[in-house]
Amino acid sequence: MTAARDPVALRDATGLSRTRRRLRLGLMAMLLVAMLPMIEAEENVAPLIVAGCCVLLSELLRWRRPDRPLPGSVVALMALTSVAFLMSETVLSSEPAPPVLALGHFVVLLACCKLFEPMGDRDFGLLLVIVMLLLVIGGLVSGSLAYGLALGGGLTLGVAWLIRFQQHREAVDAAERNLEAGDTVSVALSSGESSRLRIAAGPALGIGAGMLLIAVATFVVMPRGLSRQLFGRLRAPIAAAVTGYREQVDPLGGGASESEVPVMRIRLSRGGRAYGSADLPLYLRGRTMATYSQGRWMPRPKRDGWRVAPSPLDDPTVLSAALAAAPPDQVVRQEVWLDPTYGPNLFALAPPLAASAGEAVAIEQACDDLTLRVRRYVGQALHYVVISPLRLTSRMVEMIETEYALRAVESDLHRGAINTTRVPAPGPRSGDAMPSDIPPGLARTARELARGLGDPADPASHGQLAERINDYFRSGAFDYTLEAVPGYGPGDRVEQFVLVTRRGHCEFFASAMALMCQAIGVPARLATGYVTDEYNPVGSFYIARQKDAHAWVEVYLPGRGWTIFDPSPPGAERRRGAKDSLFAAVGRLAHYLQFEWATLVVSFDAEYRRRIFGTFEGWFRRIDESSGGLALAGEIIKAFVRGPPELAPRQRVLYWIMLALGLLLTVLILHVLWRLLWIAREYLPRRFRPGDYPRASDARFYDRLLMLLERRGFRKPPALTPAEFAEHVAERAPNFAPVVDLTRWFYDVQYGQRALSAAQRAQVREFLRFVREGPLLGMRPRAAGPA
Amino acid sequence: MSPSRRRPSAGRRRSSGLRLSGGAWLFVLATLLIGLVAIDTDANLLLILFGICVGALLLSAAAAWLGVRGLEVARIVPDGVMAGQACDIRYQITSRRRWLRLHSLRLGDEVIGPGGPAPIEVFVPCLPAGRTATVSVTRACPRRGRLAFEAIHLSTAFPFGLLRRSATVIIPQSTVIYPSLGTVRERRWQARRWTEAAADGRALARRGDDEFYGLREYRAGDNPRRIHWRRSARAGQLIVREMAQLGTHQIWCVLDSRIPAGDAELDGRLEEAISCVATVACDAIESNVNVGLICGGEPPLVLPPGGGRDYRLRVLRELALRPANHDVRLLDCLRRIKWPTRWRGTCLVFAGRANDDLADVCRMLAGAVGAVTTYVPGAPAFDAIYSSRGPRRWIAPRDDSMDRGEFALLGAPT
Repeated sequence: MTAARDPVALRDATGLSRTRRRLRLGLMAMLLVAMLPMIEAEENVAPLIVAGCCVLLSELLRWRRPDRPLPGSVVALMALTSVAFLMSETVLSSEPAPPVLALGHFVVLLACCKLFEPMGDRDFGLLLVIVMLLLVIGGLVSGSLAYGLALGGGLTLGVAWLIRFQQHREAVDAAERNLEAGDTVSVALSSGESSRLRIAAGPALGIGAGMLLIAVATFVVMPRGLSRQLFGRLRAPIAAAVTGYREQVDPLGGGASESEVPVMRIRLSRGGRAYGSADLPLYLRGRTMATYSQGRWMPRPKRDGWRVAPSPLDDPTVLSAALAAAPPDQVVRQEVWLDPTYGPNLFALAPPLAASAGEAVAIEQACDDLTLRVRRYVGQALHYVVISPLRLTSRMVEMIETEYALRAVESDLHRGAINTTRVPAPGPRSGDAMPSDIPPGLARTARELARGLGDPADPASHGQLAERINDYFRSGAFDYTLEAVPGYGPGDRVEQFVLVTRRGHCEFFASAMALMCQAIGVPARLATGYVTDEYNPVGSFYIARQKDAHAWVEVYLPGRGWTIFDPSPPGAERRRGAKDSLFAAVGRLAHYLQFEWATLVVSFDAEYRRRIFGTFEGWFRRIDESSGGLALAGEIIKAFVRGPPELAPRQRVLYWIMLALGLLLTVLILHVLWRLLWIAREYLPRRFRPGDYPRASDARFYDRLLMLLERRGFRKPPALTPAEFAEHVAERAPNFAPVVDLTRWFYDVQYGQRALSAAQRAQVREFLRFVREGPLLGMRPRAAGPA
Repeated sequence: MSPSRRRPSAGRRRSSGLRLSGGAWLFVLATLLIGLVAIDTDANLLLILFGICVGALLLSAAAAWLGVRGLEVARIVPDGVMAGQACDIRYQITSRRRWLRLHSLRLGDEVIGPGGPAPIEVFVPCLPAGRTATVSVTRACPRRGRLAFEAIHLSTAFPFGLLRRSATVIIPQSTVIYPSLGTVRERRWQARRWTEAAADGRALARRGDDEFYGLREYRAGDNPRRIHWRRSARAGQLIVREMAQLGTHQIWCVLDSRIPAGDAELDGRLEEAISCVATVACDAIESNVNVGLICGGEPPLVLPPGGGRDYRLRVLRELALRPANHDVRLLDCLRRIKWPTRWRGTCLVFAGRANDDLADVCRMLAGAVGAVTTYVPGAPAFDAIYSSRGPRRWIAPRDDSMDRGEFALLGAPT
């Protein structure tokens, strides 16, 4: 018994040591791959490096001592160190790591300890659990394609590994029992091929594909929007310097972030066609602030409430009318996939006239600056559609402002804040906010710049004045820098920026220009958000990263509304431009895949789900309502095969791949249904009838033969055996003589446990067709056979 | 089917079942937890992981549903095997499926040996559709008795070991493990036979002149004319024809199998005595001596003197299946036997130990049968006639002596 339990003896006896080594290597590879999403999310490769080093070291040590690479005490010490590391990360550290990531680090360290121990099946199972846990953590914290790659690896190599592991486990178990009993076992196949453990590539691929199909079906069918945030959500933290999320801007002279982490992806379309280029930067506005006081931009007064944003399709308001008044080629539809962020702000081109995020998420719009936000922010990724005009006409400006002024009055009336129904005149409502505390130096500089450009009190000259101030900052006298600038004194920093340092980042430039405009009476406000020109022509989308956070100025110009001015110098514009190198092309393709992953998978929401189901529902409804069924069905099938018309060629290829997978899933479901029907037919109780007994599947042809013969006048009496009946038929109808052979085959199949050969099946089919259609020669039909 | 082959045992399907492993319960729990977290956090990536876990469960269920359908299993065991020899048990598993090869098939056989249950476990990694896998299990049988085969369990936990689908078929079969045969050192009963023949006034026929008895390996001193050259060429060693003479003589082998319960040492000596009885009986039968066998116990065994191959097998079988007797005295059994005159002959008494009962038995047999010699393991007389070592005079069973039990699992081929 002892000898049988000895792992070395068992390996030697079973010859499974090589399999075991491969299994261990495969498991370690799976462990490293499963770490990738977590590593990508926290942007820290240290755990991966530690785990990789442990893998290499354990293999090196195992080379010398296969059974026990390190003494148990050393491994125990490593485990204790892991616990201490967990404690230091979660409790003792001044900046404790998020619990999910700390747990991830801890299990990785535990797995590393396990690598230096002898690994039995139980240890393999434990490491598998750790791999699964890492995937769960990755699912919580990651949104990147790395997760898809990890799952893809799991569905192919991982399934093969699992099958192999299970077979190995059973083989070892059986070998162990045989060793105990002293048995010698050999297995041989009749075909001569070996029946040893092999990598089951075929089953692994089949099972992996099946799991993928079921996963896709589950993914689509599962309801969305039920989140209660019991388990929280963690994303890579967005740098605090991102201005678009903050309620107030405080240019204190600190540095800004240059993180490459994506924040959102935007796909524009104009007139139903993709729109955008690398030469067309997008100013995606998140917030505006009009009041500067005590050295900082203040948030909007609370009395300026939020209203439900009009939906792009069904809002019968003046805004819709304004939208309708715009030329169709001047309206841009923005589809935005926003990653989980810190705040409820939504980003869009200004001014957004309609917005929708589906039924589950309500979008509100500010009355004064038309910025957007979600009503209930729970930290989830968002997918929304915004419609904005490219250029506003004076008529549109008037309609928009009137509409929102009316809404504000309605809101105030509803709250009882005012008791009059005076309709405010259209105009720059942000200018009605509290006046800014404009530093005197700035006001003086502004007045000097405005000298000779007309009367600032005349709105017609506001455009010229704003241009003048804008050019002042972009003339080269100022430097753009993201680094902290020394030399600021105790006074107002924006004033010192203009008069002393002349170096700073976008907040300084935008703040200075906005204040200078306000100083000379030009309505202006600070806008924050993202500016991106990173356009990917492969997928026709823009991507905005954390480092694209920006601040600029909006100046109210009569007849044009709030107009964007960006005083930051040209050197600050981080244009990427289209590169033609192979590396750039591969990068664009990778970004496109990441985009599809993020839009199709990560941001899949109730709206997507509703749209998919709605599509099917619409098809069925149209079939019901239509009279020309065939033509409509052909049209639907054609549309189904072609896919949505706005797809780019590569997207269409992806659509076709998904379509093929869907068809495969349908075939699989139909097959399963067919098998279920077969089971029901075979096993469900039913009333017994003569001749109704179980048939081998190959023998069912005999039932059909009997039925056909009955049609031709040969009804088999119960008293006759099949052989007697066949002789009777052959005697009566010579051209039906093969029925004797068929009956013999029936005996072979039904009672002899044999299978029909392909040639026999072909003959059976031929003869059945002959009986059904062929002439009856040399016989006189009779209704019944001999008694 | 050859005439000596028994009809296949009629198997019947007892049960089939589906069982979740312990890991499967944990997996289901983890899947549910992942699903809960995925729904709560609205994390699509977790939903995909949840879907994959659900897929693993569903596919495991589908694989279990296909399970062990469309399989036929047959067990082939020898009728008998000598103790100390290896018993070759074969299983033929035939897949009647038209497609889908079977993976990770596990075959378990409930075997009850002389020392208690000794199940057989066999793992077949894969079985292609329409093929037959022959599994050969060589099991050592150290002790005489019966090897009883009851039910065959076929199961598979493919692909992930979460669900195990099993089917049980009952194919009762058995194999007799005959006592081990040693070497006879001295044929004392032969000397007595010559004495008796001389006393009768007839010459002893030359041994081996009359009838072909069988084949055996060549021993020094054998007549070279008896060498069977064709068989020798095939076997790679010299094989001689063994002849039997027609003259008859009979001996009685009497076995006192009474030993106190729980005495392992006496039990071993009794087994040695039984091996000696078997060896002597076989040797005597091969020498054309009729052998009678008497064993104590309840019920007592009395085989009248006989000879020939079948009789030898019967003697071996009775000795193989005779359990140790803890209660009944041999003398009581002998007293119930009526001894006809034709049964008179040499009487060899074997026992695990020598005691007063044995002396009484000898006295009684001396009066009823004839000359009596007692052989007890450890005694000089015992060692003089018997050695447990030596060539095993046993020819491996041929295929036609195998018992074949087969059963087809119900269900349509897939």
